[in-house]
Amino acid sequence: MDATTFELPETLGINEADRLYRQLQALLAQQMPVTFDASKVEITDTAGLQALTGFHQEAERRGLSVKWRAPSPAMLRIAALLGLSEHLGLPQANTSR
Amino acid sequence: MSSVDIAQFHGVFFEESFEGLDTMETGLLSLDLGAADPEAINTIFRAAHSIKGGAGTFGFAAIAQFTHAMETLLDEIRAGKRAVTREVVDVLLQAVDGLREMITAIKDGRAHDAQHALSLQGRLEDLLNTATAARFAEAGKISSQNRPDPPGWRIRFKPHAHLLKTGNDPVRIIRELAQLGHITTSVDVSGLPGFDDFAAEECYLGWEFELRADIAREQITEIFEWVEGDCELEITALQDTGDVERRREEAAADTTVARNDDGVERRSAVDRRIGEDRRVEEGHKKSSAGGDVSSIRVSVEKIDALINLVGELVITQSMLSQFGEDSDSRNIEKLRDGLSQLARNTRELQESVLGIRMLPISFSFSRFPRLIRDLSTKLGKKVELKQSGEQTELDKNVMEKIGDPLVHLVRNALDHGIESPEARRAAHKPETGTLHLNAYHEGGNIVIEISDDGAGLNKEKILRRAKERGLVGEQDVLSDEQIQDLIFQPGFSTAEAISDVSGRGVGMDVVRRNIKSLGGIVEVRSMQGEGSTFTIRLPLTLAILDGQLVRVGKHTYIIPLVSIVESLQIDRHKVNAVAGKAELYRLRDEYLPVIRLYRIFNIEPDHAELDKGLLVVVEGDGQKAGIFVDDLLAQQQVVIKSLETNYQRVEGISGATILGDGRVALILDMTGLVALVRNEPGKPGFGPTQSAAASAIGLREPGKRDDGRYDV
Repeated sequence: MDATTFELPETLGINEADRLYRQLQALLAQQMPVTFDASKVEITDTAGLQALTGFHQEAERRGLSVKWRAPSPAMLRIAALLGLSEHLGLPQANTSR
Repeated sequence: MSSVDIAQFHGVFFEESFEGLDTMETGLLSLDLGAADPEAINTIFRAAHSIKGGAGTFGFAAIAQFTHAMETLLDEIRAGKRAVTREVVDVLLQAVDGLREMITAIKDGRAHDAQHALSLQGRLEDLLNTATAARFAEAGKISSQNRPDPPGWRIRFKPHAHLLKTGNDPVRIIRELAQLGHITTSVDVSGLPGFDDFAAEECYLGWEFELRADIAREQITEIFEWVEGDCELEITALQDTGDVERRREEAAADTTVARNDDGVERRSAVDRRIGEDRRVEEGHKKSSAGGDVSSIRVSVEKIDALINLVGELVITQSMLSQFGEDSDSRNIEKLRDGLSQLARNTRELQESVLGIRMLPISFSFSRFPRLIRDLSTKLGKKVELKQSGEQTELDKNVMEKIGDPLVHLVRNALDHGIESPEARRAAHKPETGTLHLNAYHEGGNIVIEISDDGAGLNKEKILRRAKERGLVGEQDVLSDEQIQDLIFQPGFSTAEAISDVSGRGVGMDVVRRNIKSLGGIVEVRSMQGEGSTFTIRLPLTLAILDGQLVRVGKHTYIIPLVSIVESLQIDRHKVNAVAGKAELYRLRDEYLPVIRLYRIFNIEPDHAELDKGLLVVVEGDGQKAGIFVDDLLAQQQVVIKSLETNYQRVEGISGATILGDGRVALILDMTGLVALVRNEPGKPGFGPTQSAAASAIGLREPGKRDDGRYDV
């Protein structure tokens, strides 16, 4: 099965969360494995990562794989800070900085 | 033993210590994490070192001990044994605050907050221990071998669904918690709905943290302060935090504060009590004005300039006395030259002497980098501080009194002005807001501007609120400037506007009142969406005032130029006399109460008919009024003599001065006069008081007879 690559935008915050959610819904509708390119993510917050976590759970439920390509340090740091790394399938980052 | 009273040098020690603390604070704030400038570290170290030395000399053991820990830490950084991390800088900054509190307490003759000092000292020692624990253990100074895991707290945090919409983000909260110590985070995702039922801006997550840190509960609750009411929060101790603190206390033999096992609670009670004592102390200090002898450090340059000027004066004086001996009409020209030289010397001398009291405003600005750093973190905003004109000088007295209003304005700009990074992005602005502090001289005034590029004032909202509060009539049409000016009206601050940061129950009316009491004015100009600029204009000194001399009958009064809006000839048709109330003068679209000075002061005017005199339109406390006078005389700088010191406080008069011909002229207090007329229109005057004031200054008013009546 082919995989869809979805490039996450630079800013992934509460202001963008609704748009992101719609895009993720569209992604789910394709019923294909997804690879997120998170290399550009500079700013993110609880709302942004919560939407991705919700997506991740749903994809798992539907048996679709979710992979990450080059997640940015900012992305990894915030995910680790929120304790969401594992739920998102992201590697653990050092939260000390 | 020598019987020299060492206490006489305490003042110098306190002053130098405060300067040292300022130096340390500025230095710490400017340090680049990771790659600190060795010279900056050295400066900070030297400041700590001299405070420690001084404290040792004067027998302030607690300060010496405390500073020793700071010094050791700084010495390790200086020697390259320790990196400059955010944690180190934060702890050192807190230690600077703690030390400032300790020194202030000793200066005021009260006990310092021993608990707080010990806890800070403990944090410094903890930092030292991380690198040199072995050495310390050997020396037996701290029994770190037997120390159990650091105590800590379990925190359960479940935001309500709407929390994210309030602009709060758990990311900020967790980040701040992580700065307190070692944190383990577990997130509860069980609240996440099915993806189809998902609402992207709701918060479905919950967290549980284990925070290993030797801190008080309040430090945690403080972080959650902003989301109180928007979440469920449970904080429980992981183990008895009293143990560690008790050990520390035993180590510090000289502390007398007792405590029992419920460590944390007890400590907050102590903190509270000390806080209360402090407020009482401050109250005492303020009420006993005059008992506080302050000193000032003056640059050698300024002193040299003074000595030179006095030298010039001596030469001029000898020149003039020579003419006195050899009085020849041919010398009249030379005598005139000599006199004008004397006048010039005197003026320069006066300026120089006043200059001694002048300090650059950077003394006042220097507290802002820290304030902004702390506040912006707390508010989750990004703010860059720009300063210009820091070298602009103003009177030390004025500077001390302008501090609080400035802090209030800066807090306000951060709290209400600059938006959150998200909102700024949405408004296509850079994420980082700018706060600009600027100062410059203009005329005889210093102008201080506080500008931000934030949201600006919302005119509709202000107008609506003003109408709700009855400050403006429903039908009134106001210019933009008038609307913006409304924020300075008493009672304008509403509960809605009060927040932890800038609220505190003090409104902009207090800021304006404080500035007015310094003879200054404050204005705001704002563009919605683009930012606001608060402009403060202050006299350079409280000792001299630019005044307009006005005449009423035989008396000369002085109106501060800064209060005068305009002066005009009265058009009788524009005067409305309302029975039982003050006369009103219609000036364009405003009605001004007319203040007849001769009535208030019970003196004889040239004219009682309004159209034969002049109306000086003044502004006091945001209210305009017209002062009816016989004539306008010259404008000149006058030296202010205090009425309170020489006589007593008189409503409507802020002071007195002695004119060139030796007569006393009273300086009118616009705010007082306007209030006087507003409260009791047509009130009979208090002429006798005024005469008493004049005689208290040692002069008799011309034209006044011994029986107290005036020659007419």
